Amino acid sequence: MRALKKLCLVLSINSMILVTAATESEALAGTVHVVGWPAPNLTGDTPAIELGDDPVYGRQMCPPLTRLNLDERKSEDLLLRGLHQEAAGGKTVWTFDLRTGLYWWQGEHVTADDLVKFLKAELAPVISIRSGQIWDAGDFEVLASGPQTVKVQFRQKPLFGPYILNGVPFFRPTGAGVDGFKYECVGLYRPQAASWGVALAPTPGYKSQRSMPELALYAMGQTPTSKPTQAIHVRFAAAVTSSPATRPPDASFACSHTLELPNLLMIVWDKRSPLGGRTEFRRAVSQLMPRSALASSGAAALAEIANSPIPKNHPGYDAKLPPQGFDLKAASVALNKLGLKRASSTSPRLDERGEPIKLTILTQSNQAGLAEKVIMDALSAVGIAVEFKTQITAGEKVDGMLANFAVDWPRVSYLPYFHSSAKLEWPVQPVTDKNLDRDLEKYAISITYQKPELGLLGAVQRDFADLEGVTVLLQQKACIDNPANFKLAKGIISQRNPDWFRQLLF
Amino acid sequence: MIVLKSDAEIMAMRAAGQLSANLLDYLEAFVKPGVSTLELNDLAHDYTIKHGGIPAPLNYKGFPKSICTSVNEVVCHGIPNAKQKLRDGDIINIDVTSIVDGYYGDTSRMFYVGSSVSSAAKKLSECARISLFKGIAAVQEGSRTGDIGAAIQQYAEAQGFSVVREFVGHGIGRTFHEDPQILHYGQKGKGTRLGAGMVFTIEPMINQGHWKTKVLRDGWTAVTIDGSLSAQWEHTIGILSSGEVVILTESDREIESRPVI
Repeated sequence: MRALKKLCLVLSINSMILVTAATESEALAGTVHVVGWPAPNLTGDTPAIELGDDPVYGRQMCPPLTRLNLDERKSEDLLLRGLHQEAAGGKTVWTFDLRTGLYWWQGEHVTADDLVKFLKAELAPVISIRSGQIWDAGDFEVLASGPQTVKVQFRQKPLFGPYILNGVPFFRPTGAGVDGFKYECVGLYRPQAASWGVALAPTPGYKSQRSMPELALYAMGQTPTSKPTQAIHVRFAAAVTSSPATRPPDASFACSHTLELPNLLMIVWDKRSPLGGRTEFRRAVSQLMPRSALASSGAAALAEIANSPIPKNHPGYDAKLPPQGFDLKAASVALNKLGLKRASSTSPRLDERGEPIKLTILTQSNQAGLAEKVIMDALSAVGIAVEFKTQITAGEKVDGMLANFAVDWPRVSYLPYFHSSAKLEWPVQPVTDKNLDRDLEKYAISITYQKPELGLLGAVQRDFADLEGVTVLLQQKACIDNPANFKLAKGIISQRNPDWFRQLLF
Repeated sequence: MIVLKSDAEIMAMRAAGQLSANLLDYLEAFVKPGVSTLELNDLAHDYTIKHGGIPAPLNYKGFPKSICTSVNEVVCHGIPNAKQKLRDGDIINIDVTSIVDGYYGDTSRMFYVGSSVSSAAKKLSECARISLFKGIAAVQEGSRTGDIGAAIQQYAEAQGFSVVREFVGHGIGRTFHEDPQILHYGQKGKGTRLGAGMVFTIEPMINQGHWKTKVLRDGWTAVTIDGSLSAQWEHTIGILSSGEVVILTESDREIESRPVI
């Protein structure tokens, strides 16, 4: 009877997806290998912000209190039974109602006091940047008002809503450390770092309550030596840039299950650059990029062309915005109009001082990368030379930066990067604009409420298109192999569904 | 180091090879008097991009164009340019390499310009083509690179021509140039043993006169030392695990007109 009660409690944590999972999970006990998913950053005093939303690692280890569910187009409670906002006595009050039956990694019950400490820390002005926001929370008090209930009282109504901590891992510091970590979370699994990746074992508090497989999460490039009960292989396009993700040489080229990734290959222009700082120049460069050739040549089916920093699979993406096509002639005309001319089709293009134009672009990969070659080819077609650098010295300026940008999914909030008050330690200063600032803020505020206006992202997308401050080339995909054992229907894997990985497992 | 490929990889390389082969089919219609080699280059570049490929030669170690156009006495690596217009009676080698799915496909053919190409030039071109297939016929699991060179040299010299020494075939895959080197001359039974998983080019350059060449000041264009005509044909081939030898850069049109050797 006691065991049955505990089982029900565990299921309540995952009520959205696990109601029917009890019998299937019995069959899954053993070890499941997950090979090829990027390893998380588990070090430091706090879990990395991206961990809470990571579909493979985050939900298992460090789930957040609430999250943005793009499938449902709403913010939803995960570790909470409820989250309410009300006005009382001239103050704004948020009430957090914790689920029962939550355990820390070491097996201790989660209490309201734990939540109080977490909220005090996370809502503090400085640390709140971790959630991708830049607003001051102002004066507030956090008090436990019941064994599972915590209230946050704001002296002034904050700019943002109660779901501001969407995706932020719920954790507590542990001082001495647990298995090498200085914090612990409330996931069904607790991690142990291994040379090949991360081993996940059931958290003691939940372990006795249901049959859960061990998870062995192999980092990219690591090959399992033991035999698993079941395995999921994830492959990424490798040829676009020389990233550490390499496509296995003997891999089948058919990919029955693709996963759209919020990873974008883009040039981020430096607004201080004499040419990269000019909108018309950036737009001309964008027209020169043979995106489809890069997608098919470098990435096979594992990327698709993109020209907006908003991932296509986000519900806020505006598909009506005209795409930037490849148009060599238009680009040449635009460059000529800017006064950047060349004497003949074989001579270099000159800047206003009569000097041959040479752009310097910072890149993470080596210069043999296909993306670098394609950019170099495209620009040389109009007489512009490009030098790629993998390192620069302090104070050295570049015109732009080629990067595989992992978008903050599912929020897709560019506030911490492209808002004019964002404090970045990037080697380039991104192009910013007051319209972009305004629209970034409106959207970012919206997603802190239960019913976000995801369509506001369309305005951000238009601002990016107007500015062309980033030249986006590709949106990457991953290939999920060997899901046959999991009886996965084709096409079911969508990043909009925050539980896609768990649905493979359970 | 020779990078061996799986059968799946070799068959995947066919996509790059096919694009390169189809590109040469496409260019054939434009090879006529008055057309500049730069126009051919631009056509090739656009075709490659529009068909989802990337022209590999462009910017490769500083090479400035997307294809190589080698006219008459130019042995290889001729740089397309606007001033060089094709003339009736010229012979031209167009060498293309496309990148598709991260793999390279390298091939070249000779084309006749107009209707006045001399029979001597045609004989040279045909000799280079048959030499290529003589070389391919020498490829089998367990044979050696010297077998390829010997087959080519024996045939070409029997026709009264010479085989260029300074430029050779090469392994190919995810990079443009890999091991092994494929010499187009040599002795049977010598050289690297051929085996399953190898993918390489055979690209004999056959000269009407002396085999020696020199490279012009541009650092790329190689010409015959004596100003005689030169011809070259090239394919990328692979050896499957079954031992079957596959040509990866043949278009349907080419398959139909393979020489009988």
